[in-house]
Amino acid sequence: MGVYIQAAAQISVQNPLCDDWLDNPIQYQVPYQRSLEPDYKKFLDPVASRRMGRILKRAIATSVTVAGSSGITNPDAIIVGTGLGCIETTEKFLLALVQEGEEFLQPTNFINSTHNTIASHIAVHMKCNGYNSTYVHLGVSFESALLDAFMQFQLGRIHTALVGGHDEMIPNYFKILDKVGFWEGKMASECAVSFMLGDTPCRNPMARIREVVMLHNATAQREEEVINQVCERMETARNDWDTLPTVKPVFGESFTSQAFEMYAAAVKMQRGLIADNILLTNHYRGTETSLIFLSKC
Amino acid sequence: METLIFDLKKQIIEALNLEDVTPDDIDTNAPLFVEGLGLDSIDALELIVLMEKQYGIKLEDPGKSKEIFRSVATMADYISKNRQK
Repeated sequence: MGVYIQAAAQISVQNPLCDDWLDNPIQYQVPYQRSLEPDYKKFLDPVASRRMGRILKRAIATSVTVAGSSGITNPDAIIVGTGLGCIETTEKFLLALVQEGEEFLQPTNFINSTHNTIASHIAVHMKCNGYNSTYVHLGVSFESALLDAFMQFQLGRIHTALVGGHDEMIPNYFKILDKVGFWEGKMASECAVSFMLGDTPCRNPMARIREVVMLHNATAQREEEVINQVCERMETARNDWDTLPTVKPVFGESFTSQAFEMYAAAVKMQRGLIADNILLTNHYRGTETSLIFLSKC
Repeated sequence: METLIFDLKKQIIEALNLEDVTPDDIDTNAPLFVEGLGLDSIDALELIVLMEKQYGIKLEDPGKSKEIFRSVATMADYISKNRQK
């Protein structure tokens, strides 16, 4: 069984829904930058989009794009990872709650303020009635969603899956996190990355996902042990696996930035710009570790 | 009444986030739901909140909603007769 990245698309601080960032990345010298938006009228009619916050529009635009590129318009599963969910709508709802004395609360903001609004809106838009799930685990949210998809592929329960990492960052939340030193000098940004995965490679798959591992409170030694075990299982040597410099200087930092790391690795791998085997690691807050093993197809 | 109708149209556009729609685009007598602006049940909830927030009107009888929200004209008429602020 293989799990293949059939298509991927991003909306970020770089030009949206394209790979311009690879040759001509936009440089920023700011602590916080919101994403550059595409023309959503190409994806959503105004009646449908008027109730959607930016994160929902981005999720749908990237999802529709990968569905189009891969030809998989009705995936078996839609799985989303998000650190904060629809935080902008949540803020609107909570502000109204405070400012209006818990009266006059707008139903749309209430409906759209839950984290699983993203995956459910994608499903409604794409008319997908299959498995639908959302993972909210801060800095390892995306990997949690990916791991769910990977395990379901392994069990043979699904053959295609749309997996996304989606987060928005609002000025107030940026400031709060800035005060506690969360950003560590990195540019705060937003994330919208969708991947279409399948167990049968399409004509030109971007990469193959060989393994996804998540560890909790693992020491460096334990992490290395696990990597070696995975390598042994895949009948590869440890030194067959390269790492890549982070793309956070290009895409910025968000709770789901690891989606950008996988996206960038897949794009580069498809173009033959990097080694054939890449190990992506994420260490979040010193307690959560994720390992994604990618190979060239 | 003309001022009320104009203000109401602006408030509806804002509350329902009707992008690219101006007050002049909304026919005062056209149906708000299904036809005309093509609003739906969630929009109806937004309009109920709008009426209470902007004009202090609490709709006690749901049975009357259909007639009150038939068009901007019927909404403005109801507001002018029942507004608390």
